[in-house]
Amino acid sequence: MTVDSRGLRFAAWLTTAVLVVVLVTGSGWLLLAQSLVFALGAFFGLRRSPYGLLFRYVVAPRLGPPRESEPEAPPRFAQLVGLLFGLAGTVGYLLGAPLLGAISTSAALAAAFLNAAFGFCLGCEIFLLLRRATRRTSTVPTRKQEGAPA
Amino acid sequence: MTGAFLALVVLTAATVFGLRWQARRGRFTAAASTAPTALDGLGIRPGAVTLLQFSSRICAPCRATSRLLADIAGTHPAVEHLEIDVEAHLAAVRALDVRRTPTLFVLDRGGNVVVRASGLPARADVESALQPLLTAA
Repeated sequence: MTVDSRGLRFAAWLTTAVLVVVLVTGSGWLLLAQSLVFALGAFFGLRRSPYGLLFRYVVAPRLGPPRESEPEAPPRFAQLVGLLFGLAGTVGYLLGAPLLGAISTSAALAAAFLNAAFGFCLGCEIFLLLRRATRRTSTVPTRKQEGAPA
Repeated sequence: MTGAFLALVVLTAATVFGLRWQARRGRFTAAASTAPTALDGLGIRPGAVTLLQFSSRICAPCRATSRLLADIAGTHPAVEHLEIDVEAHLAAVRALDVRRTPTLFVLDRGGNVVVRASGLPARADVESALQPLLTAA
């Protein structure tokens, strides 16, 4: 399953804008709505998330045929990470811990903005680190001799 | 007001980070010496110059990197492109200290790691990393 690269960028910019508004207003309800968008993207695919639908029916027809498509797994993973920060932030804002809300929203904003502006792929950076941390190697790992580097 | 200030700080910091990340992406650096067993089981063919690429499922630029390297390997008979799934080879991932995907190693004909890079490299950078290894007998 692949998605239009331009749609991903569009969704990332829209997410960035929404998260800036959340930070400025401190609105837990808006962050809850954004978290719902993250959840739909993570569990049902980017094409079925509200931003994906908006791109497909409103933006894409004005742009012409897609030039590049990407596999869907990496952005879905990023949506899942966004969802975790979004939920933590929502809990913070709505249950009277605005600092938790602001910190979580800031983390989500940084990731969304890096993706939108630089094509930064969150999964590329953290997926392997998570795997390395959570899963042991089945075979005996080859340990590098620490000491004199070449 | 503090929220607006925070948003500004986050966007500024992310911009600085993003520019640095972009500048380093796909740049080749000399690789640290590795244990001879680090590359065991990856299927490296001795005698060829190898473009060894570590990829993961959750990685958009891996596909573009794969296309580029396969194309380069196709134009040089002595160059082989080998793509490895990190999840299937965590021992090699740890031994080579691969932290993100795609991570790319260039190996000489003797199977020694010469240079490494993370992220989608530029074609010219791959070509110039290969150059000294192809001319050496």
